[in-house]
Amino acid sequence: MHVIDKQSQLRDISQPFTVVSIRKYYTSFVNHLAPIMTSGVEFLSDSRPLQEYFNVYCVYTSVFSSGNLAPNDNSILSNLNSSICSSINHLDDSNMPIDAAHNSYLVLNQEPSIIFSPNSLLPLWSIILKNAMVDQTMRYKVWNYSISETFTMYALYDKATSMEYVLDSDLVSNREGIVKELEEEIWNDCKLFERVYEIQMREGLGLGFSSISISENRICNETLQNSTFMEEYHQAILRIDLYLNLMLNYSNLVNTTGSLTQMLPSSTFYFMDNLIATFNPTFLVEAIRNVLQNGGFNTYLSYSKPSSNYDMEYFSMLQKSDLKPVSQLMIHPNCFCYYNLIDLFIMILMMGSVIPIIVGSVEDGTPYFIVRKVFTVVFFVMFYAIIGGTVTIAHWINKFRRLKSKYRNAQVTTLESFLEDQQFREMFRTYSKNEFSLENIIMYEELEKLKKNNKVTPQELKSLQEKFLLSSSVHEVNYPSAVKKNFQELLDSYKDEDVSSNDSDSTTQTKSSNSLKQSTGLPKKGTVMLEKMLELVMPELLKNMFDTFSRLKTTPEFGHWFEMKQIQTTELGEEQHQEQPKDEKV
Amino acid sequence: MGNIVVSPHDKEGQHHMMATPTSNNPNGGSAATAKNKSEITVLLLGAGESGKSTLFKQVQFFHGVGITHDQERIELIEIVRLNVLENAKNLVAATQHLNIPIEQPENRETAKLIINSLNTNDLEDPSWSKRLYSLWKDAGIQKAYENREKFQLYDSTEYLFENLDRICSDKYVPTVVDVIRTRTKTIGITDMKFDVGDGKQLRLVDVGGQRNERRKWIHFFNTVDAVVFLTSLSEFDLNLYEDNGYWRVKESLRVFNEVVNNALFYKVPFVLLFNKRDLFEKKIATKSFSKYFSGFNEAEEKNPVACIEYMTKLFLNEITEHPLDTVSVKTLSAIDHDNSKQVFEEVKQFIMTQQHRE
Repeated sequence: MHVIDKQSQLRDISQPFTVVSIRKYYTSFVNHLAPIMTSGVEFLSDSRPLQEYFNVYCVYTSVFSSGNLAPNDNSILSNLNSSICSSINHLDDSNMPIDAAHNSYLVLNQEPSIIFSPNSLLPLWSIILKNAMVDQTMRYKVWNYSISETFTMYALYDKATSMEYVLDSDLVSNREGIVKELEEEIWNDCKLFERVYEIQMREGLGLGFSSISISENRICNETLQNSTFMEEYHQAILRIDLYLNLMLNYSNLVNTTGSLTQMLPSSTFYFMDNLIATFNPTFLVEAIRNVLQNGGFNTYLSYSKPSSNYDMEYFSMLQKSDLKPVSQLMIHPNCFCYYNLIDLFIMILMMGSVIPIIVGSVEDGTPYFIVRKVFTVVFFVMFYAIIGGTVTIAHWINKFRRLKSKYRNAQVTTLESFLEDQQFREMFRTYSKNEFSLENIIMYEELEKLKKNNKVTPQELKSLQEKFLLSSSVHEVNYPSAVKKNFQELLDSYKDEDVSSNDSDSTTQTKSSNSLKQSTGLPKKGTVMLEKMLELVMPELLKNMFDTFSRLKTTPEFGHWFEMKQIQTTELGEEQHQEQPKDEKV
Repeated sequence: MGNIVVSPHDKEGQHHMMATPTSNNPNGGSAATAKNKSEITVLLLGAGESGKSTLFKQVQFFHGVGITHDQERIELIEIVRLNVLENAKNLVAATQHLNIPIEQPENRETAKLIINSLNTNDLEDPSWSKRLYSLWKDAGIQKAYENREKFQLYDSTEYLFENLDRICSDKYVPTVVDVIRTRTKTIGITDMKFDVGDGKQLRLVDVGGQRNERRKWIHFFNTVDAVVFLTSLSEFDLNLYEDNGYWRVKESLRVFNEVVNNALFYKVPFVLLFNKRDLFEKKIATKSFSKYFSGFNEAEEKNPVACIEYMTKLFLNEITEHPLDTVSVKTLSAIDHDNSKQVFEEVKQFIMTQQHRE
C-alpha cells in the first residue's frame, strides 16, 4: 500500500524494495502488544526471562559479522561489541519475523544504540521501526532516536529522511481499505485457530486450545509438527486474546450497526516493563467488531476455558447492553409493512377526527370541551397506531401465540425447556462432548442467537451452511440429504431475491416512496427466511439432540439435577400459584 | 444451588458420562498394551442403518440391563411414537413426490393433519389408531410403500403400523420388541459394559453410521480389542440417508475397506456381520438382485444362499492388509432375539479364542 520510495537514495541495494502493506504494521504491532495485554500468557512458550531481552541492545546479522563490512566498519563493530553492547543478538533471515518483532519492541522502547542489517532485511526493519506505533509523536520519537542515529551513523542511508512516514492523514483517507485488510487478518487468525481445533478434534486430543502443547502434538499430526505453523498458531491465539480484550475495552461499540463515525482517542497502554506507549485503536476496533458480528470468534469463544475472561457468558453480557431490543419494543421495525391497509384506514379516520376537534374549539362550553378532549385522545391513539402501534401490538400478540403453541410439542419442549437451565446446558454440553456429538448443541446455540436477532441475512445463512451442513464442515451435523438440499434451495432463493430486489432498487431509486418500502421490506424478509430455515433444520437437530438426551437421562447426574429442579419449581409454585400448571407441564 | 459434578462411573449397564477412550491411556496406547486387562472393548461399526444399535439393544436385553426394565422403556414412548409419525409423514410425502394420490377422502384429511399439526402427544388418543391404520391400508399409501426404495423409509414401518392399537393408548408401555424394532439414529458414540464371566467385562461401543458420525470413530480405534462390522444385506436397492443418490452398498464397501485395512486393526479379530437376513430374503423374492450386481449370475438371483455368498466375496475382496484368518463372516437377523443371541455368542467365542491365541 505504501511504497517506500526514493530507492535511488539508498546505497548498496540492488534488489527493488518491497511493497509495504499497511497491515503488516498492525500485525507486528499487535504481535508485540498481545503478550503484554494478556498478562500471564507466555509468548511462544518461550521460557527465557524477560530480562534477557532487555539486555539485547545490539542486533547484527551474519552478513556483517562475516567480514562483509568495510574495514572501517569492522573496527567499529569490534569496539561496540565490548564497550556499548551488553550482549549481541544474532539475527538473519531464518529467525527474522518473530525475533524482529521482539526486538523491534525493544528497539522502540529501549532505543538501542545500533542496528546492523543486511539490505534484504532493511524493508522489514524499516516497516517495523517506522510503523510499530501509529501515534505520531511516538513515531517521530522512534525515528529520531533510533533510525536517524543508528542508520545514519553507518551510512546505510544517505540521509534519514530518505524513507517516508505513513502519515496520519493517509490513514484516515484510506480507512475502508485498512479496515478491510485488518478484517482479513483477523479472520485469518480465527481460521487458523479453527484449523488447529479441527485437528485436535480429529486426533482426539481434547477440545480446548488451552490443552495444546507443542511437544505433545508433534507426535500426532504432521501439520502440528511444523514449528513455524505452531508459532503462527500461538501468535494467532495471542492476537485473538488481544482482539477480544480490546473489544471489551470498547464494548459499547460491539453492537452498533453503523461504522464508527469518529476516530477514537489514542489510548495509553502499560507494558510489562512499565513503559508506556500510546496508539490509536480505531481501525483495529472497527475491524474486530465487524468480525465479531459475523461470528468469526464463535468457535474460539465457545471453547475457551470457563475460567477465561472471554467465554460466552461474558460475551452475552456485552450483548445485554444493546439498546436494539428496547427500541423494538416501542416501535417495530416492520411498520408500514404488514398492516398498511389497516394503517391507511386509520389515517383516513384520523383526518376525519380532526373535524370534531376543530369544531369543538369554536366555543368554550362544556359539551364542546368534552368533544374536543375525547377526539384529541382518539387522535393520539390513532397516531400511535400509525407510527408503528399496530405492528407492535400484532407482533406481541403473535409472539404470545407462538409461546402458547410451543407447549404443544411436548417431547421437543421438554428438552428445549431444560436447555434454558444453565446448569442443564452445561451438563448436556459435557455429555455431548464425551459422546462426540458436540456439533448439535453448537448448532443449536447458533440458531438461538439467530432467533434472538429475529432475522437472518444471506451471509448468516451461508455461514450456517458452511459450518454445519456441508461434508467439509468442521461441525457437520447428521442431516438427511433432503434437508441439506432444501437448505441449499432456500439459500439460493434468498440470494436470488436479494439480487433482484437490489436491481429494482436501483431502477426505482427516483421514487422515494418505493425505496422506502424496499428498505423496510428487507427485515421482514429476513424474519420470514429465519422461520423457514428454523422449520427446516430445527426438528431434525432436536431429534439428534434427543438421542443424546435419551442416554443422558439414565445417568445419576441427570437424576440429581432433575430432583433439584423439581424442588426449585415447587418452591416457586408456592410463591406463584399461577405459574404452577405451566411448570408441571414442563 | 447444588453444583453438579460430572464424573465417570462404572456401574454395569449404565451409560457413562465419560466415554473418552483416552482416559485410560492418555498417550493413545495400542491394543497390545491393553492385553492383560480384564476389559474387552468391542467396536460396533458399519454405515448408517446397518443395525448396530439394534444389536446393541439386543445385547443389553440378554444381559438383563437397560431396556430390560420397564422404567427404561417408558422413557422411550416418545421415540416409538415419533417413529410412527415420521413413517407416516415420509409415506404421505412420498405419495406427493411419486405422484400417487391417496384414494380415500378421509385418509387425505388424516394425511393433511399428519403433515401439519400432529404430534406425539396426540397419539395417546385411541381414535388415532384407527385413522392411521386406515391411512396405512389406503391403496395409494400401499403403492408408495411398494416403491419405498425411491425414498427414505425405516424398516420398522410395517411393524409399527400393524401395532398401532397398542401404541395409540394412554396406557402404552413399549415392549422390548417395540424398542428393538424402533429406528433411532445414533448420534455420537456411546458405550456400555457387561459382565461376561471369568471376571471379564465386555465393553460394547455403539457408534453413529452416517458420514459425519464416522469422523468420530477414530477416537476409539486405539483402544479396541475386536471389531464387529455390520452391513445390511437388504440395502442393495437403497440410497444413502445423508446423500440421496449414492448407493448404500458402495458406501458400505468403502467404509469396510477403510476400517478393515486400517493399520490399527491388523492384530485385532474382525467380524463381518451381514445383517437383516430376514428382510433380504423377503426382498429378493420380489426384487431383482442381479439388476444391481452385473457380475452376478441371473439364474441364481432367487437363491438367498448364492446371493449372500456373492456379497461375502464382494466384501472379502476389499481386504488387502488384514490377515484373513482373523476375519470371521456371519449372517444375522438382529431383530430376531434368539438369532442375535446365538450369533453374538459365536462372535464372543471367536474374539475370546483369537485373544487366547495371541
